[in-house]
Amino acid sequence: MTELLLANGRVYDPKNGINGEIMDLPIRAGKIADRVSPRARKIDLRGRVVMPGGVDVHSHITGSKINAARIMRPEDVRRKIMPRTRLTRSATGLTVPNLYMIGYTYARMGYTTVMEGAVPALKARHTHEEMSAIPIIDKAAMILLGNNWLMMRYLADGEMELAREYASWFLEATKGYGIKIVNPGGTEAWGWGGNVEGIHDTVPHFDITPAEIVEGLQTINEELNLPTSVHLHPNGLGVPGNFATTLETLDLVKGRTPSTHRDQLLHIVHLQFHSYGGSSWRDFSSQADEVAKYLNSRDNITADAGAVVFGWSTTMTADGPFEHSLQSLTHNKWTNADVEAETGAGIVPHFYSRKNAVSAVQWCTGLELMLLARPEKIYLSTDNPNAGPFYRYPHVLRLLMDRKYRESLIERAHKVARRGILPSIDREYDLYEISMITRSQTAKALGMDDKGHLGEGADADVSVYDMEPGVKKGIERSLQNAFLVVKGGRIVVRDGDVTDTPSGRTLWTRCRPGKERDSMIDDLRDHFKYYSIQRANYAVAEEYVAGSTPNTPEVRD
Amino acid sequence: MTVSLRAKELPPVGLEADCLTPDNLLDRNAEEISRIRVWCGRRRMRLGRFFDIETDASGEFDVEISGDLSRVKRIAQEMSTGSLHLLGHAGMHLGNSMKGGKVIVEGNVSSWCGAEMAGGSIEIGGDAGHYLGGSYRGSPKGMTGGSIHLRGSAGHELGCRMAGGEIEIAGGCGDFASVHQSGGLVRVAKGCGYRPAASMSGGALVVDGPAGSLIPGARYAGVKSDPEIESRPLKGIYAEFLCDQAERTQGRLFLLVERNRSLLAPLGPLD
Repeated sequence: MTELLLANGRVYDPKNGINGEIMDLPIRAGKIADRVSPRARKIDLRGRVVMPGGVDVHSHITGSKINAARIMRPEDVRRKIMPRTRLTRSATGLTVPNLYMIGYTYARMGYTTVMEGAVPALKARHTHEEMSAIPIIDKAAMILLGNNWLMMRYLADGEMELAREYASWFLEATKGYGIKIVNPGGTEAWGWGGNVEGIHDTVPHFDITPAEIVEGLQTINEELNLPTSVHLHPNGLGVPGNFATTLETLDLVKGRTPSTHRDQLLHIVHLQFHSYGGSSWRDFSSQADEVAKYLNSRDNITADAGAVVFGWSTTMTADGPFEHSLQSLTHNKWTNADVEAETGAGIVPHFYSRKNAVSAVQWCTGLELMLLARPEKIYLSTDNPNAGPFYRYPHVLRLLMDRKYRESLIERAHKVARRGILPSIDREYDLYEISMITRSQTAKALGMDDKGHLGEGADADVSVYDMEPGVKKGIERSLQNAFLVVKGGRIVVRDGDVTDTPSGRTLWTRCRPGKERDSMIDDLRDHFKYYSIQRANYAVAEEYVAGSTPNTPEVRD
Repeated sequence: MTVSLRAKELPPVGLEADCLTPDNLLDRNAEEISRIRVWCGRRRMRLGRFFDIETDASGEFDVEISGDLSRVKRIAQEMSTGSLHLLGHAGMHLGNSMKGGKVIVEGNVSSWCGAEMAGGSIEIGGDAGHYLGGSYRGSPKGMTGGSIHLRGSAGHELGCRMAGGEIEIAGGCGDFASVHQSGGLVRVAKGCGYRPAASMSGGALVVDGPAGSLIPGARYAGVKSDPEIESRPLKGIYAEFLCDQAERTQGRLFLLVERNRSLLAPLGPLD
């Protein structure tokens, strides 16, 4: 039995209320233990910071969108290259890296669990093939249901039990972790060349509104008792003045309470893209203060930031109409896709220039949200690779932790950055808060009880950084190259270098079939006339998630 | 100081010699240079195995390389300063992503010469391959600055996605000259192949010889005699076309009327 003792580190474990205490961390059989035998391998971490392994709440790392972007952007491969070594495979790519680069880079930053943010069910098999090839990290996938024809039909007809049965079958068929909604109704409308303007617009050919889709799926999510809440990408992404739509959407779940120990009923992804004021690109502005105030005042909502990082990105989303409007603005290359009876997608490369007014406002919006909202409410993400590639997380964290550095970047950005409220915010994150927004709170929001903390029985995912509380020098470099990373009890990174490449697990959810399963299956037979594949070939076989035990929530009736 | 390299025995597979720039060679002695390692196929070998290296106090150029280097790739890649003289042919990617300095090649160069270069100059005595001053796969821009002068002829897709700088060719060129060009000037003395200026959105292409065809998106914009194009005065009577109408902005294609009579015949008498 492998035993490890991480001794004398300064531990930040917010879930267990440990704020910078010097302590020993015993690890046995891949879990945090209460103690280990004297034979355990001991590593002295005096003068270093210990946190749980990072848990990324929203990132796009696998699936058809990423792959289409890789094909569309051969130039991206040339921007970052790591030759193979005896241990690691050759890794390439800056904003849409190959699978090895994703695994190694996350691990080197101390991240051990990553949630893939949006997977079309029809492409789930390919997604799982990619996930099983990503080294080191654990991963899971949110499955798109917000523009699904059968789901919209059930919800429009008020067939809640059938809808719930469909959702539970759907998650099992795709080996997904939870329910994702992207631009509810809007992507379906894009199939007809349109979009929905507000949450009470009717979706073409379906007698339903975005508001009804969100409320319906959120109710189902709680009835199924799923580990995480619905993850929602609201309507109106990237549109000036969209913060009103965002707040209106969040009002939908006011007064409701979640079924489990997690706090939230809705997790809003990349909130930055949904917090804009103004009425056109001319008077485009940040409404982060308004949105952050609202977020702080609500118990049952969480969000991730989707903070913009200056430089190259590749925008990719199931929000097809948004990508079309971005392409019309920038004339960059564009991929557009329709996924049969389920969803759609678009991809456009984008350069966030510090000298561009719109980019600068977006950059400020992301930082303002993170600095004004409480760390229980908003978590770190760059909506990788939409607002910036995930390997820039340490850069964003440095901006949050170091006010002087933030000011120096505000100085170098377009002048709109100096007109907003960002220069007036003094707040600096401390290491405890950093541990919250990247670890304990994200794991809690995702309902991953064994992740994001260092209590006894938790997965032995640990990251150690070469830094000290209060010292700002070299923060970014330390966070980029962890001193030590342990994944499932195995040392995978030493001194910023990958030293071991175990394969991570895939986390997924299996719900028990309910009473209405048979009549739902009857509907499903009929529904598959809209598909290019047979129902029998649709579901992802369990071999694709071999070695993983699914979550099995109890359905509440 | 001049560093001279004379090829002795070159391998049958390509040599990735991106180390051959004045930036890299000038502050080293012959011994150090011969120890630089280069990729030869899948193996890394010492430069000294393939070249006789001498350093010499007086010379016109900073670096002189002689021999048939047709399989030596990436010479002068990302070069930013100094001068480099090549006596012989050069392989692919010569002077790609170059930022400054001067390269003179006495022989032919292969494809992607001067690709994505931003500054400096390349003079070529022989012919060039495809994508001269062009872009690599997927890049939004090819050459953005500097100049390329070619005494021979160039292959296809000359100046692909070029956004700035100047290419001047004393010979002719292949198909799709200036494809996707958005800025800068390309001059071709002896005529070009099919579909010049396709998908062009800015800059200018001047053809003093016969053009193989006109793209459907070329809109006739009149005749100019002795025009000044991209601040270069030209002699002769040119037919001007705005290309490509399928794109959102317009590049300009100039065809010398005298050498394109049959192609321009549908427009009636022009001079």
